[in-house]
Amino acid sequence: MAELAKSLYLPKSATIRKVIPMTESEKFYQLGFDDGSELGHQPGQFVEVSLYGVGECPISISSSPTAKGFDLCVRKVGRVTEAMHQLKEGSKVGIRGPFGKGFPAEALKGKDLLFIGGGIGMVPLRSFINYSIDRRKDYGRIILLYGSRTPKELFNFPEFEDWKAGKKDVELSLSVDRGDDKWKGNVGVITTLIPPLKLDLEKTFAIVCGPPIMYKFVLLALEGKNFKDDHIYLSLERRMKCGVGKCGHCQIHGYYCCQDGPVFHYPLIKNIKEAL
Amino acid sequence: MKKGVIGKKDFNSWVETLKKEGEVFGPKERTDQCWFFDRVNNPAELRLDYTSTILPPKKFFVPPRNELLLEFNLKSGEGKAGKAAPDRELILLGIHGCDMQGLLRLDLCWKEGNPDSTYLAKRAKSTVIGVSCNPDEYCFCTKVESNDFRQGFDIFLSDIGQSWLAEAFTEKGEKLLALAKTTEGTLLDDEIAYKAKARCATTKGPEFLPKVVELPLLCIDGEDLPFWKEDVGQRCLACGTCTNVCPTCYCFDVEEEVDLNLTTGRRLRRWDSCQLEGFTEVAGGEKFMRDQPGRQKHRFYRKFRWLTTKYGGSAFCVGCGRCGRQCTAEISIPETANKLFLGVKAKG
Ligand SMILES: Cc1cc2nc3c(=O)[nH]c(=O)nc-3n(C[C@H](O)[C@H](O)[C@H](O)COP(=O)(O)OP(=O)(O)OC[C@H]3O[C@@H](n4cnc5c(N)ncnc54)[C@H](O)[C@@H]3O)c2cc1C
Ligand code: SF4
Ligand code: SF4
Ligand code: FES
Repeated sequence: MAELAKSLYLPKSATIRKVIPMTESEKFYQLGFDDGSELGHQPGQFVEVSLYGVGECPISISSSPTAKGFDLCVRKVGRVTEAMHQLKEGSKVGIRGPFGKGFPAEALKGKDLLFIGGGIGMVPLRSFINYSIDRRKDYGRIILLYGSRTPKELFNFPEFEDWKAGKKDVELSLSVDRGDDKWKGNVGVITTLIPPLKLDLEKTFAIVCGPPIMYKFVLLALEGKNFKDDHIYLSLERRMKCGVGKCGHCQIHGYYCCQDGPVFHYPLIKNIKEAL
Repeated sequence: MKKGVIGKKDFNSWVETLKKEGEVFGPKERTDQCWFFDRVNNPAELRLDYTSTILPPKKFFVPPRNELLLEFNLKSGEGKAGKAAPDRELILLGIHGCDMQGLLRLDLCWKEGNPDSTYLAKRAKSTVIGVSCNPDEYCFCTKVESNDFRQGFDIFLSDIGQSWLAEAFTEKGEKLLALAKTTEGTLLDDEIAYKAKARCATTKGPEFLPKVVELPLLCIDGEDLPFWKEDVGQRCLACGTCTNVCPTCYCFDVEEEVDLNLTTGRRLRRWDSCQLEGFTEVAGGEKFMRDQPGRQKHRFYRKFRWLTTKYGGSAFCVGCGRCGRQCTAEISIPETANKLFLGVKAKG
């Protein structure tokens, strides 16, 4: 064998250009590669973020490929993510990727998009939402249902105020599990936002991302709305150590979530007990 | 293909010449009937009549721990890929047919999709010399169609009594065989060699009811059989031994190591096991393989359904029998396969 391809595990250096605190445990980062290249991702893909001496972890790409640089949003839960939270503007991180299958942006052209995001699941959805806003003519309605546990845990992405003000043509509904003194919006789990929707079922496709527990209830609510299975896409989380189809951690029966997902067409995984 | 007969009295001096061509590793005996692959310092240590080693030859290409992926410097922030290929050729001497098949399965997985240069560089720098086997009651390579004495080998040695019949299948192999003192074999030698190879089929192994081609289908039909929960899943201790000793299991974890100078360090790979409880755990505590029956089924299905169908048909169990020999709970692939087979048949 002659010269072998370079290591699968070697990250590329990127610099954090901006850090925006989102909630108590989540921070938003704008990054760019040091060699000036672009990530070249599809909405819904992820990267492996690497901090030498600490480790690596998979993080969804939150920005649209139509923007320059790329955004990540990180919840601190453990070693790597806590170390990420210590980083400042100008800090360097390693990036591998983009990895995985994203949302079928091409196949969904001309369709109405119903985004359903719970908690940190909003992060990858934002990529496709901004993409569809930037390619407004390519898509029909952009409907977003976004839920979190409390109002404090809702993200304030830079463009969020615009969406709330109805500026970008995003039909946004928010819900929190528990309100507070200032909260005037919906209170209840995200599925309560589904029954009142007025949708053209032939034209609408649901794109769902949230914590594991959310999928079951969202799917039931969509079924109640006579949604067809093949009109549903889900982005799934798994433990991932390599991102390139080798380490075995992300396997869902015959699929590798890091390669065949994280976005799955619902009919593909519907009958796999351990998928959802 | 080049062929030659090496007298057993001349064999050790050939091994000595092989040591000049590369690092030679082969089977040795630790204690009674406990064999392991190790560096051959003295050819007299070689036990080519061994049955099976504790760890398969995968340990040379995917070491159990501390496999260097990257080296980094925390001051400069720079990282680079660790050197993967060894300086000298790795000559594995005395590999059985099943273990060669195991390596070929690993080659598929590491090559396919995103080629893993860390693994492939080591494999490219290796020569494999096979040897006919002395099977025991745990071996079942023939039941899973993994008794091939040619594919993947550079040289294959068959025990023909006072001599070895050596067949060289590759250029590398022919070069090494040319270093041995050989005589031309006879048709009778070929027949005795065939008998040695056929021992895998003629030794009484465990009962194995299903045909290997049926297994992916039996897996589909037998997903809900109660024995997963009530029997295998109940008995399994979740120790991970079965995956460690398996020639085709390669799931891994990645760790960081920082030196005492707090500046230099490295990213290392180590074996992991789907049988361990935390294998699929994510933040928030969700585990996607929820219980031991599920994890046992995962291991079996990876061998006979998922990787089999993904990579074009061969089973990912090569019948070496190691997992059955080592399991404290006496869980073995033939036993599980038989329960699956009988369970599906009983369902009608
Ligand atoms: C495709 C994908 C996209 C993701 N996108 C985001 C995102 O945009 N933002 C975000 O904050 N998080 C995201 N995650 C989750 C994130 O990867 C984990 O929270 C992170 O790996 C935890 O690493 P840690 O070192 O901080 O935690 P650790 O100290 O390693 O462990 C803390 C907890 O995280 C779990 N965990 C450890 N390693 C992994 C792993 N490799 N994958 C998943 N869970 C793990 C452990 O079981 C433990 O419960 C995503 C995960 C996947 C698979
Ligand atoms: S060796 Fe036996 S007990 Fe241990 S995990 Fe494997 S099947 Fe279970
Ligand atoms: S599953 Fe068991 S018998 Fe089959 S190859 Fe692996 S260790 Fe050998
Ligand atoms: S993350 Fe390693 S195989 Fe998918």
